[in-house]
Amino acid sequence: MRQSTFLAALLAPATLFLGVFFLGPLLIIAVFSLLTPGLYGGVEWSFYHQNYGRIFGWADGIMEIYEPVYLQILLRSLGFAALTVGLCLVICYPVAFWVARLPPRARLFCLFLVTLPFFSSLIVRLYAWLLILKPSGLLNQTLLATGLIQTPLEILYTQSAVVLGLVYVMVPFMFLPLYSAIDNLDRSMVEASMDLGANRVQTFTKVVLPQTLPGIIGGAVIVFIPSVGNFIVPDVLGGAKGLMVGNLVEQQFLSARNWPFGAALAMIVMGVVLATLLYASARARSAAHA
Amino acid sequence: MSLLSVRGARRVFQTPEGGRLAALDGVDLQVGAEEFVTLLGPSGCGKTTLLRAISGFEALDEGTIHLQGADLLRLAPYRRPVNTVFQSYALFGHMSVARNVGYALEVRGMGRAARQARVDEALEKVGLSGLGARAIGQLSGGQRQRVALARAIVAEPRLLLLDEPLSALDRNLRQQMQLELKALQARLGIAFVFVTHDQEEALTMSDRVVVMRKGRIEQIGPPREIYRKPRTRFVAEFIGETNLFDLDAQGRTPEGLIFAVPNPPAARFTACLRPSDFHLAEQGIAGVVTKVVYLGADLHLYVQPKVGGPELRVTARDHAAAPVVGAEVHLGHDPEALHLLEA
Amino acid sequence: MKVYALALGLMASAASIQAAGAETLALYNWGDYINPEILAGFTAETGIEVTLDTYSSNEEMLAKIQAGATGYDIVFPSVHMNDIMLKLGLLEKTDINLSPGFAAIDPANLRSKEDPDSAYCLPYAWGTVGIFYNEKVTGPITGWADYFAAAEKGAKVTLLDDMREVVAVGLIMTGKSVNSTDPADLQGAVDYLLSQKSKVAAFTYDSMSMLTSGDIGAAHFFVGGNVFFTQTPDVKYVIPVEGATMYQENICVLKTAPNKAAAKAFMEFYLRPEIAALNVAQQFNGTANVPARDLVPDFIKQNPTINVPAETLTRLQIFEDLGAGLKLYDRAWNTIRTAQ
Repeated sequence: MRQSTFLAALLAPATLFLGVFFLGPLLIIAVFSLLTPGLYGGVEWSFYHQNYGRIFGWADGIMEIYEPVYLQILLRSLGFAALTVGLCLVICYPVAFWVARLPPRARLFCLFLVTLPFFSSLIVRLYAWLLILKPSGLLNQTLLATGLIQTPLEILYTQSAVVLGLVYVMVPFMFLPLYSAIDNLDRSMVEASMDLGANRVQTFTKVVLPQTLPGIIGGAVIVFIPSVGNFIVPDVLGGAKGLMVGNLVEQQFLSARNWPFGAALAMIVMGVVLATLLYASARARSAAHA
Repeated sequence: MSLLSVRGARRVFQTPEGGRLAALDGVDLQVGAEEFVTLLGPSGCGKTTLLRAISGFEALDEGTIHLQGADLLRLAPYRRPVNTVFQSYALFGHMSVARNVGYALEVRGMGRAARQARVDEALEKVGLSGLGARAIGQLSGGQRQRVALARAIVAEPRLLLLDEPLSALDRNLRQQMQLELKALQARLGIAFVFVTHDQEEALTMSDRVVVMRKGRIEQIGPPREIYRKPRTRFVAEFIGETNLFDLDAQGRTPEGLIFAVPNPPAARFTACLRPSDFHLAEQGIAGVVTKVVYLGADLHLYVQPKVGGPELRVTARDHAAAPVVGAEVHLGHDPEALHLLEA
Repeated sequence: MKVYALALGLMASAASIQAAGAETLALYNWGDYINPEILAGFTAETGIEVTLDTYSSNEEMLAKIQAGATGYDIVFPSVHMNDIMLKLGLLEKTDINLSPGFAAIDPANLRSKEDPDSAYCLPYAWGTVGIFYNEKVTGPITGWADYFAAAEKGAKVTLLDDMREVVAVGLIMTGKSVNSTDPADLQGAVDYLLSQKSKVAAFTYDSMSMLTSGDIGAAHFFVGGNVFFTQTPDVKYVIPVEGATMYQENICVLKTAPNKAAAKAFMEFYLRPEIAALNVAQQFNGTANVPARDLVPDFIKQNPTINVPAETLTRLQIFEDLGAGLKLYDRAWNTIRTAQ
């Protein structure tokens, strides 16, 4: 009894912190999403369901108009995020394996390299990509000089550039949990599998993959969530043409002055993310107990 | 013809300091079809390297390994008809006990129903009937050991490799498992190659013990021969406790103890006597008891000879009149028991 | 615990620095929108330390102020935002129009509908939004028709990543007011822009460096972009013949300003022609300060796109507050950006 009181006292600051700085804003967004937009930003304190109606189809057609474009943008964002997760996984999995086999010093150095991008601003790094990808940029100049292409590749301001940028930003977030899972993988399990007659493919699918699944799921979740809501990458590298839901939210607050609609969009993104998270954690739990 | 035949096995590793270390330095070994062979030696002697070379997880720089006449070195690990019980067990945590045990059959493409019967059979052999549905996390250490064993025998290999499988168990369980393993090996009628650094374990279970040192085989023989007739000083010291004497052609130690040696092999040589070969007598080597270790039925005495030299270790029966520290004793021995070392 | 202690220590020392330091004035301005020499000059003369935070849209600034951001003395809203902020009661009356230096201000620049006499805010700077183009790539461009024609022929062109500026291009090209709230007008503008969208490489503010490097041929941008092209005669700026938008920002003091006296002092400092001219020389835009127009460098004075002649002024429109009509623009903007 005394121990649990002690524990509660220990946890109180953290709980309070989370309550004030995490749940508080969340609650504000949830409430705002159900209020009437103020003419000049802010909200009017009267219930208004049409913020969601604009998105899902029950707008009255006079004050608000239902437009499928919002769901389209949401779906596109989910698609981009899923593609980003897939590409990050394909890139990071073999590399994490390779790094895990390096001698300790080289391994530390590689981990340091992976975290290096965090030392500089995301915006700066994305502008660097803009310089690389533009028609007169490094990539095209190199390819032209080597004669691999005759005319510059049109990458900048395309959806490919958006996905490329997202993958670039998210790779470290995929790498670290994957590396941790792969590094913790008991090598003798791989040997046991082969010793029992499983070839490399069987060993990978039946032992390595399931054993590293928690890392894969963890990485996928931390890549997916920020990817869905990202608005900087589509702005800088997509030329604001490949609109994602994050851009839409940003626009509601920073140019359309429609906070409740922005809040409603944010709530929907949060709902999707929450559903993803619940699904993933259920999968991870079943993977751990199988 | 022997089941397993290792000839001229050499394996050299690069040490982190840039030196070269021969983990295997010309090893020859034959293992019979139903034989229990133990590789024994201190860590770094090459025993595990030899085991891994047989299972395929270590390559050889030189030499050959044949199983039933087939060249094992040409086969990838997963094609070699041998199975291994790993020191850490290496059980698949994401699979049930039954799926772990049936893994070797599953990857060979055997159907679920056929697999089930073989899995049940293997579980029964290791005394785990009915636990197939359990998760690995729900098992005790001893049970995991048995699952690892069942998993390794389910495909009916001709040769089972065991890499210090008992080292994680407590003493009682270990002794019980030693007997069970020996019985299982006899029942299965297959060969076991068992790696350990525990000489007691080696002596208890093996048909033959292979004592290794620095990548070479020091001696191969049945446990009794290894214990009673060690070939070298290293074997004599590594297996059990012993008293070593450096003797000249007259059977004298530098301090002046004299032993009866009918046919001295050289001007200088070494002989050994096990502690149990000494007995307390009316006359013989005079000395003072410096330490008494109580072992239950027996006592272990440390006796300092009056003429000097190293202390002697002596096993004596415990009884009311047993010597105490400081007592003056005389030690006698059966002259037949004195064993001359080759090196 | 250590971390907390450290944080507390930092906060305490920050507070003590502020308490011990001199009087301060906190500006909240658009990024790169004031000549740093002005701030240094103000501090040198008055001893008042100036801090500068920046924003990138009127709405961002408004949202922050509405959300309760305090500590700022002066903001630089566009005229329509100036009106909104007055309606919302966020601004402080300064009586700057009673200051002796106010005679220098061109009455044409008193554009606020809510504050026609400049009792609250002081006109800060103004300029046009037009087309920068690399003549070698696109040939001569006089307006939006040429711009889209050049794009048609393969030149890469960009529009601003700005809701109202882009919709305004559509409204101008269909002959409507850039402040129209008639849904039919907006539909026409959207239709026009959609018909041109495939030719537009991107909606972006990053066009100036790309124009320098030759990666794009023409870009929709503010007149201030001229700063980048003083040494590149091939890159030119034009105020489109079809019409264009103009902007003007005013210096306003917030009702919540902690140091209103210093804020008023800054406004009066900025009334001086030589100070206003300092800004033009660095920003390449227009000033409301009539005597200052004669103090700017010659190449700016002689550039008709910066020092705009009266006949050009007639084809410029300035954004007004749209009230609830903004929703139409939001919808139009989403449609334009998502159409494939």
